[in-house]
Amino acid sequence: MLRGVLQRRGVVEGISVCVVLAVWEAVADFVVAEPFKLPSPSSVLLAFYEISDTLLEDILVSFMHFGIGICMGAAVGITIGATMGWFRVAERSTDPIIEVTRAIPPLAWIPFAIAWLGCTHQAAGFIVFIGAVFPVLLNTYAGFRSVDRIYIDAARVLGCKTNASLIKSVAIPYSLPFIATGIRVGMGVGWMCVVAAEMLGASNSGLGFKLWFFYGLHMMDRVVAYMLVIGLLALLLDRIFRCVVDARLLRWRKGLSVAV
Amino acid sequence: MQGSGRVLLFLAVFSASLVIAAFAVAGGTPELASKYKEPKDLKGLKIATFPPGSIQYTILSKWLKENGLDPEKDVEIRTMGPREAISAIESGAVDAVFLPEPAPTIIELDEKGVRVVQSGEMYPNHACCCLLVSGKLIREHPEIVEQIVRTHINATKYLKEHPEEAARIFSNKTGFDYEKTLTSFERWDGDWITNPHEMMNSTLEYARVNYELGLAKRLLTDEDLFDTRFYDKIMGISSSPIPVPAEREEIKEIRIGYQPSTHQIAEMIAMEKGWWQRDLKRFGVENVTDKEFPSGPPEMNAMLAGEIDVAYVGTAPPITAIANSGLDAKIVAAVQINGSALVLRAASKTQTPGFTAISTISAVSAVVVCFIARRRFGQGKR
Repeated sequence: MLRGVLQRRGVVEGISVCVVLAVWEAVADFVVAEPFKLPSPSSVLLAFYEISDTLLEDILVSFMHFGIGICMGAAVGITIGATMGWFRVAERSTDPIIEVTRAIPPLAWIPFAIAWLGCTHQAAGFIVFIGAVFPVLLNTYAGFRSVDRIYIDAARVLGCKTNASLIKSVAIPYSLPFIATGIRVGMGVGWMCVVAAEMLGASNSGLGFKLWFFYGLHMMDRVVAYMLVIGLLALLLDRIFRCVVDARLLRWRKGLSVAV
Repeated sequence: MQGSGRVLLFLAVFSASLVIAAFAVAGGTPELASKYKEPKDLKGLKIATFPPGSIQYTILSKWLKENGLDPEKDVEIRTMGPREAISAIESGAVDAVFLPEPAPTIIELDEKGVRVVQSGEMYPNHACCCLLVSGKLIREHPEIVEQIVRTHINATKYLKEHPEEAARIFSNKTGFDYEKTLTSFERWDGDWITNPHEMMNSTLEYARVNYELGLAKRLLTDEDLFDTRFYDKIMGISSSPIPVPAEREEIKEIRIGYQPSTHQIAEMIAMEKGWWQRDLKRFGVENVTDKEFPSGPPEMNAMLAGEIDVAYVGTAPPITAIANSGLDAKIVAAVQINGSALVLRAASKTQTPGFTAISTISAVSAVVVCFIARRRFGQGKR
């Protein structure tokens, strides 16, 4: 009977979470006993209530920074990645620059983001852009490079004579799964960059800003609350993206792949 | 032109147009200082200062509110350390800074800003920096704490009598320019003091302001914040003995926190001249180290984590640390009063109508060429 209960969906997951919370509460209250070093889950729950009046605004601001960066990252990454993947000379001319630039951590760009764009939402979005553009670029490039020659030849036979029509009719549809993967990875990196950019002065609102704000006021229970919100939103963004992409953009792959 | 050549042309023009357009948009930064007449002129500006809980954040918020401005809605306060704030105003990323010396003087001498209000005008004779000592050290080693206060008093006296040497020590320690540091001594409205009684009223006012702003969870009293027994004993104000516990841990190292501000030169002088090590050695302390923090709140986080025993810090950060996280520490001496300034941005050299016009025309031309090149590169080989 117990096995039957455990096999039900959500039971094991729920028990696991409850055990973690109980252990955390016990360690925080009786072992560490210093709220600054380890706030307890009960204090974090209270902190959620205390931050609830501004939480939605902070989430929307962080989403705005994220949106600026991801949109720009996708536009620039797909454009340059497609160009590099389709034209050999473009690949040869841009590859050294891309390889050097992508090795620079996004956070190292924060001083220049602030110097060029000021302490604005665009500066925070720029850091997200730096984090997101390279996964999109490299995956788009990989998709375009891997287009099978047979499809190109068949398309030419069927009337696609120009580069533009070949790209539109063959390369882009073929590369969509690669591009989707690149955007998904870029979103993960970009979301981490949002928090860091907001923490380091590029914004005066948002989840990262508030996390650092309350760290400065030594309210560690609120810091943990914001950390949990950041983690849960990252999960939500990923799930939504996968639903939209798999259900709509890549629905033509159903039946062609084991995974879809 | 072959397809590959057109691609290169497209990429080159695209990249150039982005760079030129970026400069056109950036354009340079307008001058603000000469337009300032009263506090209400600050409405809508971005002001960089230290994080919430710091002296600067507290005084700025208080002063803005007293002058009819909401610090959360009418201005955009950006919090950062002093070096980042100097870079931010000099690059035009913020419109103003409210910082302790020598930052305002550096910005003025770099011709990037003009000070418009001294902190002493915002709040006359306000408390600024203090000497904060951990409660454990006070309870278990009061004789060490008394010596720390004595050394601090001696260092403060030396600092006031030898300003050039003090500026040199500060410059060597922090990397700030010596001449600019020396000039800041003439331009500031601050003073180095040691008597903690002189800063009690304003510190309690900070406690009230931070409590009303919601930054401190409870309203602190003078007993929560101050322990003046050591200073009173040294100055002969009180002769009550300070009890020494019978059993206590030996202490071999004292760790001191400080910030890169001329407010706290006394600590740097005592460290540079070896006075901390010399004066505390007879109590069994073998090593005295110090560590720089960009501002008070991170310094208080370090004290909460047990990383430092003594802190040269503003009187406001301990308020939030004690009220919100139960920091066990007390202010045992004063360090300095006033000494910060609000600096508004001066004009950027690139802000000329000609530069802006040329940049804009270049950007538009580059984009037009881009479109033409794109339409023309048709059949190229892959």
